Amino acid sequence: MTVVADMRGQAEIVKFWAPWCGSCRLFAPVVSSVVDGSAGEMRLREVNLAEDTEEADARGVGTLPTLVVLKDGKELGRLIGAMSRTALTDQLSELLGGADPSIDTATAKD
Amino acid sequence: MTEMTNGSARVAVSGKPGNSFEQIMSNVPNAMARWWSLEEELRFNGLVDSDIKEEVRRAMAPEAGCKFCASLAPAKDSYPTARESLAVAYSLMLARDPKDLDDSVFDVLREEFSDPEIVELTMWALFMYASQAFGAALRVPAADDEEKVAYAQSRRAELP
Repeated sequence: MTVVADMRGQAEIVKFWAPWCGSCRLFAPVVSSVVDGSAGEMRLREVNLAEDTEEADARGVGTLPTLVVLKDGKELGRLIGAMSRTALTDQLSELLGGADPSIDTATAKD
Repeated sequence: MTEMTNGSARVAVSGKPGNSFEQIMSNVPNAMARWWSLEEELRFNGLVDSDIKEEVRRAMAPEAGCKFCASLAPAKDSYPTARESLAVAYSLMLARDPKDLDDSVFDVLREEFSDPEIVELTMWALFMYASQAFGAALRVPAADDEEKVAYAQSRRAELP
């Protein structure tokens, strides 16, 4: 189990936000709570568009807040807009549960 | 009545006891008494902790442009609890555009607040915004040190 967990790696949640975005502010403690409660399965990276628009442009992020969910370097999906903790947990579970990183890893080795 | 000088408030102050804000508001004394009574009721007799309400007030003051209100105490950079953080975020959204609140905002709030608490928080935030808009419109000057101390003491004294 440990080996599998290591192979999977952490999911990276990239949160695009800006100080002027009210719903980003509302959503912030929700995202932190879900990531903190994931027992290390997820890590959070924040991109503040007031300081850096490069990654948002590159990823085509046009609405705030947006969460881009990455695993093993691949984008699994994105969640747009604020939502409750329950909704976020469900949607992340669906995104992350649908991924089979061991296949990705094997494909990458081939 | 005393006319305020250039750069100060836009209307006459009453010369009655009280801080700059109260001296301006006391041009309409009966309404002022009820105004403060409602503030006390909302601040101290509700379900939501009065410390959270004070953080809401602090965060909203610069948004409304009330120099007096903002000078009483600065807003925090971050908040230790989800309740505090959400209360502040919701209140700022209310101040910016109450028409822009979609259902997801309330889905988020309901995970931390009961419906009566959401109603109370909405009342408090909008009442504070009205007070602060009053201060901004009539250009109540920033509080001096004595006024800041008096404000802090009055709120501490009345905390439950």
